[in-house]
Amino acid sequence: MPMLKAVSLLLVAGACAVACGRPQADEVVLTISASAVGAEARALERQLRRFVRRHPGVRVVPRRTPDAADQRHQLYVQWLNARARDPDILQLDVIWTAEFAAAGWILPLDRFRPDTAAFLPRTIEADRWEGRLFALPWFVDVGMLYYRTDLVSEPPATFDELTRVAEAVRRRHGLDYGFVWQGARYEGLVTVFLEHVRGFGGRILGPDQRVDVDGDEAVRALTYMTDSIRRTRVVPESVLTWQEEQARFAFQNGRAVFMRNWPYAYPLLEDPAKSRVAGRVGVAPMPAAPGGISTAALGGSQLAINAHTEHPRVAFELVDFLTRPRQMAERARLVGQYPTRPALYDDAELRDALAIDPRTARRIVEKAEPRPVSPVYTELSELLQVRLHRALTGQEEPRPALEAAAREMRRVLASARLGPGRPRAAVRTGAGRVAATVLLLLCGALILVWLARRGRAPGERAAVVATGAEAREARLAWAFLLPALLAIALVAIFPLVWTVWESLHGADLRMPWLGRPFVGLDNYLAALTEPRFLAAMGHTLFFTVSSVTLELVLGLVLALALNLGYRGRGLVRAAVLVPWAIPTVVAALVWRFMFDGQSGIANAVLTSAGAIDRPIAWFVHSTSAWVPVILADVWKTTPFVALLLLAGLQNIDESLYEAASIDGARAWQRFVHVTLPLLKPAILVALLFRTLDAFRVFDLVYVLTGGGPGTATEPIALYTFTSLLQNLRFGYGSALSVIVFLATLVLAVVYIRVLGTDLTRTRE
Amino acid sequence: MNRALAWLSRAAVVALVLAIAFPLYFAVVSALTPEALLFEAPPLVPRDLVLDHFRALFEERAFWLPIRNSLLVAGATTAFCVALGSPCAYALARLDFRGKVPILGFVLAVSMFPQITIVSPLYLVLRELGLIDTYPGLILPYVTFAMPLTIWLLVGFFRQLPRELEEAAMVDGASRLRIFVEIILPLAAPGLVTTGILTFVYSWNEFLFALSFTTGPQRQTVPVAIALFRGQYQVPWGQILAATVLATAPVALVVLAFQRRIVRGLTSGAVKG
Repeated sequence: MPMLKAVSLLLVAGACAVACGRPQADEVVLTISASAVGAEARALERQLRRFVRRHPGVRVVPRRTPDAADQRHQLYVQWLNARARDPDILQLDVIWTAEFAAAGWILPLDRFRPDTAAFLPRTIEADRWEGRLFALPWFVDVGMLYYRTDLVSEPPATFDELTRVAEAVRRRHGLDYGFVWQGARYEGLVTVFLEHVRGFGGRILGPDQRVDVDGDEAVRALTYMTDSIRRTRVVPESVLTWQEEQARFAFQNGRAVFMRNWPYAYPLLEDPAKSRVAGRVGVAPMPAAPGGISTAALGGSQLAINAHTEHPRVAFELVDFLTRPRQMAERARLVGQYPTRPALYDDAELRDALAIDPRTARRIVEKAEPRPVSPVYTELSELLQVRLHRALTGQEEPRPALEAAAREMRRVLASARLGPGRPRAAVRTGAGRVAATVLLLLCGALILVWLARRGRAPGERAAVVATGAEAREARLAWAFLLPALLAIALVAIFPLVWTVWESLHGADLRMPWLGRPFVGLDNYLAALTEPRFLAAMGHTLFFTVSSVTLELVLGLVLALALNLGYRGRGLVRAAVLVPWAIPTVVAALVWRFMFDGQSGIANAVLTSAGAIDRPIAWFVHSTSAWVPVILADVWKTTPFVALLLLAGLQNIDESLYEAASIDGARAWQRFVHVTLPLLKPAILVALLFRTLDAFRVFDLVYVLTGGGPGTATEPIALYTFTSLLQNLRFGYGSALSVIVFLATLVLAVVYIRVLGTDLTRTRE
Repeated sequence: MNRALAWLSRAAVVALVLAIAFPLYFAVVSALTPEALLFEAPPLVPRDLVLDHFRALFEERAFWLPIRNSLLVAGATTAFCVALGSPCAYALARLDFRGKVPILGFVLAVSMFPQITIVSPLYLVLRELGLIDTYPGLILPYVTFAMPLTIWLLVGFFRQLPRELEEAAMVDGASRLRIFVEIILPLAAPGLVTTGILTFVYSWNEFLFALSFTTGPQRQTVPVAIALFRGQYQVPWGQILAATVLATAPVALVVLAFQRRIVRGLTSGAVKG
C-alpha cells in the first residue's frame, strides 16, 4: 500500500515536472536587453508584466548588459555579428542605429507601419538609415544650459552675451568659474561641440555623408570654445578632464555661473540636502551666435529588433507597447527620462515627473539635433574627439585641427565606401598583394632552410653517441616537454601566425558589407603613413627611455644602499616589494588620484611648498601629463630593478674590494672599476626586462591619461588596442600588432646579442 | 669617510622607502575618508575614518563578483601552468636531449611577447568558440604569459637541487619518471610554492586580456572592474580607492609572508649566479 502511494506520488510529480518544465508549444519567449538597474529596472519590469498580461502565451526575459556605453556596444557587435537570435529587442544608443542598420543587424520597421508622426521629428531622423526606419525612440536626452537664477536674471541668448554675463557675474560674486561643460576626450565632448557648431551655423556632417567640420562656421565655433578657455578664461582649463559629474559638482557647490549638462542633473541640483544651489537653478536652451541655431545635442535610447529574431511581429508589438504614451509617461515619472512624444509635454502629469516646467522642457527638446547619422559614427567621433581635444588643450590651432579631422573623417568614409564619390574601388593595390606574397614565400623558405640546417648537425652527432639509455631519456624528456610546449604553441604561436595573416586583409567588424578582401601590405603602408601611429611610436620611445633611465639610476642607488647591510634590511626589502606586486591598474589609479584636478595632493604639496602659485591641471597639458605617468612607473618598478641589481651585487666577491682598497682605490674608484664592470650582466638583464616591459606599456596609460590630452601620451599598445577593440578594425590593428612584435623582437635580439648567451646557457 | 657613506646610504634608503610607502599610505587613508572631505583638503592625517566606501563597494557594486572571478581565473591558471610546466622545466633542467637551448630560448622569447600582438587573433578564436566572457576564455590567454614564467622559474629551482640524490636513486634502479615524482617534486615543493605565488600574482594583476575578453561584470576580474568603475557620469574616487586597497591587501600580505623566497625566485630566474 505505501509502496503504491509512493509510486503514484512520483508519477504525479513527474507529470507535473514535465508539464511545468517544458515551455508550452505555442509559447513565445522574447528577450530584451535594456538598462536593468535601479529605477529603470523597476519601471521596465512593471511594464513587461503589463505587456505579458495582455499577451497570453508570451514570456519576456530581460537580459542584463553592461551600463557603460562602449562595453554594451562591443557586446552587441559581438552578438549581432555572430547572428545570434537573441536578444530579440535591443536598447540602442542614439548614435548606433545607423551602424547596426547598415550592417543589416536590425530589422527595418516600416512594414509594421509605426505612427512616426507622433514622435519628435529629430528622433525619428536619427533612427532612419537610407530612407528606412530601424528603431523607435524610447526616451530622449538633451543638452541644455543651466544657470543661477539668483545671479542671472535672464539666460543669455548669444555666446557673446554668455561670455560677458559669465565674466561679470563671476567677478562680482567671487565665483571660481564662469561656464563649465564636459571637455574630456570622450563622446560627451562631441555633444558639446555639436551645440557650439550648430550655434554658429555650422555642421559636422552634411547630407550624403559629406564632411563639413572644416567649414568656417565650425572653425569659429571651436575658436570660441578655445578662446573661452585660453583667452577670456570664462571656462576653466580643468573642464578638459571633466565629464558630466565633475561639471555638476562644480555647479552644485556654487562655483560656476553657467553649466552645460543633461536633464539628469536637475533634480540633483534641486535637492537641498546635497546641493548648495537648490531653488536657484534655471534651465534654458543653449545660446546661438547671430545666424546660428540654438541647439540641444540629442541623446537617449531607441528600441530596435534583432534581424535574426524568430518572432518579429511579437517583438514589434513589445517595442510598440513600450513606446506608447502611457508607458512613456510612466517612465518619465519613475525614472525621470524625457518622452519622445511631443504631445506628452502638454500633459499636466509631466510637470511633477520632470521637475522642469514641461513648456521649457519641450522648448529645449524641440531644438534637439542628432549627432551625425553614420554607420561609422563611432570612428568619426573618435577622430573628432582627438582633434578637438588637441585644439582645446592648445596643441593645435582650431582651423588646422578641424581640417585634419575632416581629412581623417573623409578617409574613413571613403574606405567604408560611404560619402561623396561613393562607388570607389576598394583601397587595394596590386603591388601590395604581390609584395606580400613574395614576402611570405621568402619567410617560409628562410624558416625551412634554418630548420634543415639545425636538424642536420646535431642529428649526425646523435647518431654517433646515442645509446639505448640516452634515447630513452630523450623520449621521456620530450614527453615531459610536449604538453607545456603545445599549450604555449596553441595559445601564443598559432595566434601570432593568425595575426600576420589577418594583417594582410581588410577586415572591419563594423563594416561587414565590405567583406574581408586580401589587401597585401596596404595595412602596413597605411600605418607607416599615419601620423598618429608615428606619434605613438615616439611616445613609446620617450616613455621607455625616460622611465628606464630613472629606474636604473634609482634602482642602483637603492641596491647599493641595501647592500651595505644594517638592521631592518629585511623589512625594507619587504616594503619595496609591495609596489611591484600590486596590479598596475591599482598603482595607476592611486597616482591618478594624487594628481587629480584641484584637490589632488600633488597640487596641495607643491602649492604649500611654494613651488607653484596655483594648482596645475596635470592632465590637460601635453607635457605635464607625462609627469604622473612616468612617476607612477618609476614608483612601481624601481624596486624590481633594485632587487635584480642587489642580487648581482651580492655575487661580487668581497675580496676584490679588499684588494682594491689595499691598492689605495677610493670608494668612488672602487665603484667605477670593480662594482660596475662586475654588475654589468645584472644591469643588462634589468635593462632588457624593463625596456621590453616599458615598450609594451598599456595598463598604466589606459588608466592614468587614456592617452590624452588629445593623443599626446598615447603609446603604441594603446593605439593598437583602440584600433582593434574600440574601432574593430581588425586588419589594420593586426598590422599594428605585427609592427609592435617586430620592434620588440629587434630590441630583444639586440640585447641578447649584447648579453651573449648568458640568458639561456645552463648554469653548470 | 666610511661613516659618512653609511649615513648617506641610510638616509637614501629611508628617503626611498618613504617615497615608496607614501602613495600606499595615502590610498589607505583616503579610502577611509568620507567622500565630502576627500575633495576639500587632501587627507594627510586621518580624521573621521569611516568604512562607507567599503560597504558601498559590496552593497552597490557587488565587488565580491570580480574578486571571485580573479581568484578563479588566477587560481586555475596557476594550477594548470604548474602542473604542465613542472615536468617541462624538469626536462629542461636535468634531462639530456637535443635542442635544449633553442627550447629555453623559445620559452624566454614567448615570455617577452607584447600581449597586444595576439589580442586580435585570440579575440577572434575565442569568439568563434563562444568563449568570450567566460572563465576558460580568460585562462587560455593567460597561459601565454604564465606558462613561460612558470617554466623559467622552475628551471631555476630544479637546477638548485643536488644531483646526488637523483644519482643515488638511479643507482638503485629507479626510473627517471619515478625519480621525478617521488624525489624531485617533494624536494622542490618550496620552489613550486614560490612559482605558484608569482604566477598567481601575475595572473591576478593582468589587465589587457581581461579587458579585451570580458564584456560585463559577470566575468570581469578585479583590475578591470576597478578601472571601469567610472560610471556613466561619475568617478567614485572613494570606492575606487577602497577597491584599490582590497585588491592590494591580499597580494601585499602574501608577498610579505614569502618575501625571501620571492626575491630569490625573481632574481635567480633572471640573473645567473
